[in-house]
Amino acid sequence: MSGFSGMQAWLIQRFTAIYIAIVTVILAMIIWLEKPTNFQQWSALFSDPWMQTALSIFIVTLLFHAWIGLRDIILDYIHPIWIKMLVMTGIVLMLVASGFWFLRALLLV
Amino acid sequence: MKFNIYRYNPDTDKAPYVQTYELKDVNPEMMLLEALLTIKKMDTSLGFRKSCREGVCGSDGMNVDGVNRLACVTRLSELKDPVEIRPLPGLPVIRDLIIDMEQFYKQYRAVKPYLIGLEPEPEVERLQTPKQRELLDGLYECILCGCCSTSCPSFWWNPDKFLGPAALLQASRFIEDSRDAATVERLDQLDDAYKLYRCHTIMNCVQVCPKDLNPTKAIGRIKERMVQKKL
Ligand code: SF4
Ligand code: SF4
Ligand code: FES
Repeated sequence: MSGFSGMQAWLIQRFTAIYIAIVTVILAMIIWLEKPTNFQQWSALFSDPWMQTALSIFIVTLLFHAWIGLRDIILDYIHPIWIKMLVMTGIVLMLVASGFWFLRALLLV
Repeated sequence: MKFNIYRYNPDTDKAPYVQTYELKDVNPEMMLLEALLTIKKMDTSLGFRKSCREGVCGSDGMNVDGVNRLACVTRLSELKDPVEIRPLPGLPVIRDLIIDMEQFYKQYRAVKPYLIGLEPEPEVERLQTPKQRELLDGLYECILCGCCSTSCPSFWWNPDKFLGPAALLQASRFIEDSRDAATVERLDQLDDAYKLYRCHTIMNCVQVCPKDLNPTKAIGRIKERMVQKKL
């Protein structure tokens, strides 16, 4: 029902956290070094194939990480099964939609 | 010294209330359980459990000044005046400080807290090396007082689905045991969203255990074993 076994969810949460942390630090460093100020510079930065690959993986890991965190809150606090299903479905749709939105933005730069 | 004690008798009281008792000239070296027994002589209607008086049986767990502990090993000198005494939180109250521990025991039974041995039975005892025996230290000493599980928020929210620190400590005790033949089944049984993984490492359990055991560490060890098994 929640998509993963207990251990899978726990492991995914930990590994995605590591990736998110590393990429966030690198990204912050690149932006700090390059100091892009206008649209051209930003879009040049984000159209680099390495950047695009890293960010595509980043968004997928971020969404999985978010899903497991939100799922934890739901499993802890929401008990009636149909409300739980409803909220979970809503969140999955929202996460998937934001994933597509992000990937589209990434491809269009 | 004043004692504010939670009182509730579902047969006669509409709602729980707090009753204050006062003991004059108490010896600060006295244990809280002795104080409660003195109060019970004044008011025989006060209900609480006790047996061994020395931190062995685990029957007098209660919430004292907001912390779950055993009354029989709690010195009055450690407490402030007045003392606030409540039943262990999170489980139904039967009367006063006596709670219904059935849910707690149910989770304990769910981990099959006994050796599941390989057949046929050996001619001699099932031997362990001192190293194998050492793995059980910090796990076998639990007296099932319930102080840990009833202080665990995850157990409060899902007492029927999350096993709670006490039962998980026992699960670990049998997973670590070299003589047990059901390690894989035990690990598989725990691998769902609730039984073990509702633990968020809040560590309330570690803070309150009167036997200084560490359920959080035991839970971490089970997780490690699960990962090892997968690899
Ligand atoms: S682990 Fe400690 S607190 Fe928990 S039931 Fe056992 S002895 Fe009591
Ligand atoms: S560490 Fe886990 S078992 Fe212990 S109190 Fe926290 S959530 Fe409960
Ligand atoms: S009376 Fe036995 S543990 Fe306190």
